Amino acid sequence: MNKPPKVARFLLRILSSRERDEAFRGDMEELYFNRSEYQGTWRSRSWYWREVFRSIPRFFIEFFRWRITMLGNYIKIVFRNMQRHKGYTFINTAGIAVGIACTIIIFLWVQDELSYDRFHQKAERIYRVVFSSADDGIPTNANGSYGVGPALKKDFPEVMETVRIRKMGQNVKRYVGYQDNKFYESRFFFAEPSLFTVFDFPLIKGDPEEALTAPNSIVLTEDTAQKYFGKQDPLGKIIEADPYNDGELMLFHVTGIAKNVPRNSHFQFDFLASYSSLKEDTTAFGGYYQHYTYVLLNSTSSAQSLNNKLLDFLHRNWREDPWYTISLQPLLDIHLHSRLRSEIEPNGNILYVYIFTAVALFVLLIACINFMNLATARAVKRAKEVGMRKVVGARKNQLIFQFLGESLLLSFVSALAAVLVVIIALPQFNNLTGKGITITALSNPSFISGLSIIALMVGLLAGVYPAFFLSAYKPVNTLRSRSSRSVSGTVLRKGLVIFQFVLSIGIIVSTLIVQKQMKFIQSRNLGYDKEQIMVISLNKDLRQNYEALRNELLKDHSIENMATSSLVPTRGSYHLNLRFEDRNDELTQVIYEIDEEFVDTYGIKLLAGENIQSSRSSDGTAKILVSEQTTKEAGYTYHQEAVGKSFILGEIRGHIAGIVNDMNIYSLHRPSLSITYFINHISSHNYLSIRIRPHNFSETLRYIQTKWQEMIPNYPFDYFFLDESFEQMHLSDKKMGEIFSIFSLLAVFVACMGLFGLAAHTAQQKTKEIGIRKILGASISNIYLQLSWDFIKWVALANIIAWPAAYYAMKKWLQNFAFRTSVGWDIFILSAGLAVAVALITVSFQSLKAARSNPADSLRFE
Amino acid sequence: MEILTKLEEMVLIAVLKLKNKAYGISIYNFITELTGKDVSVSSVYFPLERLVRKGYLQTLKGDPTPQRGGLSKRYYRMTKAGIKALKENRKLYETAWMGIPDILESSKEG
Repeated sequence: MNKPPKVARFLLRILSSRERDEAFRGDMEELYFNRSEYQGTWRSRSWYWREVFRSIPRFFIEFFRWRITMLGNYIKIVFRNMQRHKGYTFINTAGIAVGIACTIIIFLWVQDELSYDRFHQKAERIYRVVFSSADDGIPTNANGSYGVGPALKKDFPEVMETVRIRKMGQNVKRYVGYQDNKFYESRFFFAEPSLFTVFDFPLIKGDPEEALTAPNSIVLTEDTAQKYFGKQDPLGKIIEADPYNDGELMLFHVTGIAKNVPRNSHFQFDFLASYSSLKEDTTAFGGYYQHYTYVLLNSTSSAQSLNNKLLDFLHRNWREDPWYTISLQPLLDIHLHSRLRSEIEPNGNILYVYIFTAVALFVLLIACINFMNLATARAVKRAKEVGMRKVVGARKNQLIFQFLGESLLLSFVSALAAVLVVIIALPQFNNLTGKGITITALSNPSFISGLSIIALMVGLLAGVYPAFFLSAYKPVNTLRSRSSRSVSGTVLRKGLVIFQFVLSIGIIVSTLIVQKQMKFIQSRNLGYDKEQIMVISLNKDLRQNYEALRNELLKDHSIENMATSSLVPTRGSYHLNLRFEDRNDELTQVIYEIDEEFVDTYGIKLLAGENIQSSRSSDGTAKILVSEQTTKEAGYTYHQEAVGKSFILGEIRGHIAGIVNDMNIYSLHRPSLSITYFINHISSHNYLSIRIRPHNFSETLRYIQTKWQEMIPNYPFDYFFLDESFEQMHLSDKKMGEIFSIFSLLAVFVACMGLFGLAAHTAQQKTKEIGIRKILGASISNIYLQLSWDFIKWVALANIIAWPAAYYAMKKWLQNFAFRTSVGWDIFILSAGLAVAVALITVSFQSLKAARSNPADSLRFE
Repeated sequence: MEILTKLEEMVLIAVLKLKNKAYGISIYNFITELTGKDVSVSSVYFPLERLVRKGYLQTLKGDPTPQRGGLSKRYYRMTKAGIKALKENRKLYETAWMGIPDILESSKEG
């Protein structure tokens, strides 16, 4: 018998697969049969094909019409469910919204951290020359010596250009003035003209080729120009500055105005003076200065081969036994991966990028678990709906899609709520982190697609288990009896709650350890009394009038003492090698040139020997003080041993007069350095330190200021406090601690919301059981304990799992610090206590309510 | 009352006229003969389905035959609601058309 074309027939079968389409297919067969009786096979075949094609659009429309109708029904059910269970809906949406908001904020933060220095077009090919004075050649310093740059360019064809930048000291402020606008400035640099061709720091005014060529020219940023010149045209104006702080004012021609430096640059400047204005020999290879060298290579690939040739380069250009080695560090690695000494600005830390990402994802995960738990817990309630749908012909796939769709809808709604939360929280977050992330970052298409992906993932993650779990119900079971309770769900639910609390307790423990370390830093004895010390930069007039000012100021009884010195803690250091005559090792010493009052003003304690009033002894040799650390490094067992020992310090010979305690002059990330003190004339000093008594503080400050204006009228009054400066050094740690605390609060909060929901559910399920127990004589406290214990034991178990993980992670973090607090049992006990208490409070709301309910109410309807 | 589409109306009329021989092909043939248009076979099934859903038609399963590839026929029968809907629609059209034939004829003469 003649049959329709196979392919067309198959196609039709796919199109019309529903049961009621059977008649249509049968009719098509019949029509084809009739046709093929009087028409040729070919004509009837083509007729058949034509009919199949003509039916496609209609089946298509039909296909979607049904989907849309069903979708409408699903959405209706979702909203009905949401309305009926407002509490659950709130817990789910709020939890996921908080989780997504955390993720968004951290995402923005990470994006900002990763964007550092990427705005330079040649960024990939720019490298910084870093220095290593360690034997293993691992870079130690971002700064180094002057001569390396030009020699590199001369020796290697792959080095296309070099840029040298000179900073005037670590954290120092130097005087800059134009007419009456006089300030102390910290972002003052000398730079080579190649800076504008290698980096992308565009000039608004001036010629980038010429601006930094001539000696004594200077480029200012927009904001700086505004600060000094207001509305006047700055070009051609002359400003005075004292970059060397030696009282000899230098004059600079303003030759250009640069655009403000983008926030995400590791190199931040306000002033760029021409490199040719520098007074020192800029070809020398020896010595470390606040001097930075960048190179532009012809291609990224040449960096590795160049690195291998650098030792040879030093031999060739400098000396046979170089005491430092150099290597190249990619520009793009500086912000997150570089933790060298003398960085231009404090850098970020890739560790924090990882930690915050992990914490944000944890919060999100905890929220997803809430959703899963509540969805499966409430499964019993929805079992009837599932049964009903199955009875009227819903297939398992359709139900899976329905439940997945529900969780997707919820996660997308939460994502929108999260965006709102982010918009509200962003200014605070910027405050906390010192970043300037704007809301415009939220409108960027990659963010929107990223957010959609997050929402999709969350929806799937949270919905997939409930979807399969619920859709697997057998209609007979769900519809037959009232209480078809599933046991399989509860095991998983317990596991998930434990997991949630493992995460939150881990975060709590970590936060507590961070807090403890921060407190430790703040309260640690630094070897000097950092409170109430006010520091002022010395200038020419002050050096001349120092004795007079000192006498004048000490008349006020609120001023305890004052001293001048070449350095103060937190503001850099310079080094010389010291050798004891009975020892062979050269000991690197931080050199403090001080006056007679320094030791007393700073409250430094003499451990052995005697204090010095002068470094000149009668026989013409020098007398110095050294720190405890120096004697340790020299290998003396007792401090007393070192007293009176002869030494050679550079060119100076003399003997040790006394031993003083160690001072932490840098952050507590670094171990104590050995320090040598000797007394020198004020002309070699840079700072004046004043110790003020705590009472009448502001009055004393005013008094100092008045005296200053009387006696040093030509220089602005500018000061800082040592304790603030010290705190500044730990700012990034402090910020990180604060961010961490906030996230840990959120994590615990979201976890507790989930617990609250679960407790409510359990209490509701056990209404009858509680009623019967009460009738049989159980007391409120019995029932309360029974209900709460269920949850508390999970939380207690979570503690035991969380502790080792958190301990291990925080041990790693603490290794960042040379001085670290101990991680004792107290923290773990405290965190356990906190977690259990919070969980107990959360659960108690529900347990108490259930325990106190009147059994008559719960048992009346049966 | 519900206004039927032209195709729905025609399908209902076909079912009414074909009495107990009304199934897909006979309805399709009725419509193509009446209109003289080359309508696709599938196009009659969707109005049929819609009418069944609305309750204007009811279906009966016929016997499968070899010519039909072993698939059974689906016969359609008018319901009371269907007859009522058809009546109402007819009345509606008559009301709407009232007075118009004269105009059409007079315009022909002119």
